[in-house]
Amino acid sequence: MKYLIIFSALILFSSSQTVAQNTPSEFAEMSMQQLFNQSIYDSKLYDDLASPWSFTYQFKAVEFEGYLEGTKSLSFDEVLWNGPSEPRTAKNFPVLPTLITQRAQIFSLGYQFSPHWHGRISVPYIEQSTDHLSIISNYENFTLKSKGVGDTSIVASYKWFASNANTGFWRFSFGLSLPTGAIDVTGDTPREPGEQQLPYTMQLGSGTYDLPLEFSYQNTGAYDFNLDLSVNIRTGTNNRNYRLGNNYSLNGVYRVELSPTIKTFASVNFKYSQPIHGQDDSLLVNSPFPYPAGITNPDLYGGKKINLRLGLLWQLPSDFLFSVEIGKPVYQNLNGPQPKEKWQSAVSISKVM
Amino acid sequence: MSVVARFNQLFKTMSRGCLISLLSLLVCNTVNAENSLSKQDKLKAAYLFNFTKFIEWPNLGDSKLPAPIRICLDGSSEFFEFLEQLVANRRVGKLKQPLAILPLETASGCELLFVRVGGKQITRQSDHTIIVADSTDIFFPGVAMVFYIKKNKLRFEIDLKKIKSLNVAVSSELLKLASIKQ
Repeated sequence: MKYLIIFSALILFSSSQTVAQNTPSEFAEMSMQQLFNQSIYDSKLYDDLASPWSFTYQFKAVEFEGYLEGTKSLSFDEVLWNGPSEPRTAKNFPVLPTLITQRAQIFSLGYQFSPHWHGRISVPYIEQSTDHLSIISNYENFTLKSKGVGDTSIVASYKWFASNANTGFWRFSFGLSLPTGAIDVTGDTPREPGEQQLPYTMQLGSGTYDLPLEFSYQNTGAYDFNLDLSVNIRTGTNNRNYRLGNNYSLNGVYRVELSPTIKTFASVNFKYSQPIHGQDDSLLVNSPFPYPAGITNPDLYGGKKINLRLGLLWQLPSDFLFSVEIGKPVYQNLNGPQPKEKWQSAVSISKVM
Repeated sequence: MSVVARFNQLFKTMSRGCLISLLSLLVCNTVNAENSLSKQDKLKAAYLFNFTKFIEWPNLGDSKLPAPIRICLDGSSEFFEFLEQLVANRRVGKLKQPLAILPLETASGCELLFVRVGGKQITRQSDHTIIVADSTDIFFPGVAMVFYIKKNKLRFEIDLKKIKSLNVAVSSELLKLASIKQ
């Protein structure tokens, strides 16, 4: 504890020293618009930016279609249990999600406390839709939908320059994800008449307090790239008796300048997700095979994925930053049978207010 | 010694090591902070670096061997050192050109020439050298860009006729931010 206090004090003291110093690296990182906003008298950087506040709107979409068990592709016929004429196993189900679409609009408000400290609060609005096939009469084809606010995250990040020689900077981010997303969304499923609890994929939040952490290095020298290591640690168990799996991710991005205001980038992302711990018993049916669909079995979540993404960053006038990207998995090894990711995309626009 | 005791000892040793490293970093920071350059000068250095992103000079090597963009200075050694650190390891433009900061006295040619003292005779400039003056108080032949202060903020003016005569391509993004002298 004593060392922790000394460590914190040193970090704070060190950061205040660096704030007053205004290194060449900090000046080199400033855009023309930021230079334009600087007073020539104030010794501190960024204090005379248009505002320390920033706002980001991001739209993300991801689609899942087809099935994998490990790395092996499975057809719908292999995963759908076709009735008593076929042996029922733990790997086939009477209800089969065929296409899962998830869309999120994320609204983030950021505040630059100093050149080193930044804080952000993000609230997602999620819309999900799942198309199904099933062997249950009147439910041969049906679609379930859910929408609403997801989990709110509050993240603080501390950035420090690797050195004065423009080799790059480090950033450590830590935060808390609050369980503001519903985990009791219902819908009309073939399980029984009326509204029932929807599976884990259709819920809007985790139901637990989660700890997002990220450690990253951004190279700002001759080669513009960054490497990020991030984890999302789930804590406790939610009131439906389960906890989503932790996520671990390693991301590398390389940017190429096309013009002073436009950059293109390519990224490789390796992600490992754990299965769900615990179980929502209301999703089960009273049978020797209690899971009516793969997505109701907590063990059939998680796995490893490698995604490739390509995108564009465009610095627009008046401190607007626009970005667009599209990604596709090149490797998936899933705890299956599990719906496989087909593609993902994101568009975002940020503005210093 | 038990595993717990060993772990505790290792933790204590690591903690001491971290403290020593942090103190070293702190000392390094303090040494680097000994820089009395004014903020106005630091901003000028950052502007000079940014200008190179928005201007294309002809005959500056090819994609295999991009030649450095040379910024020549007659300023103080502190300004020279600051700009040298600011551009270190950075590359600009489609050709990923490195930047070289050179003292005016020894440069054999410059893409950007920053003058802070008026009336000097300069023979080392090329046909494409853009001369940037430190302020409007400086009289210097051939100046194409000049810094000036407006409402406590640093601005710059571009002499469009002069720029065109130098056969360099200036991005419209840069022209939008500049005050234009026709």
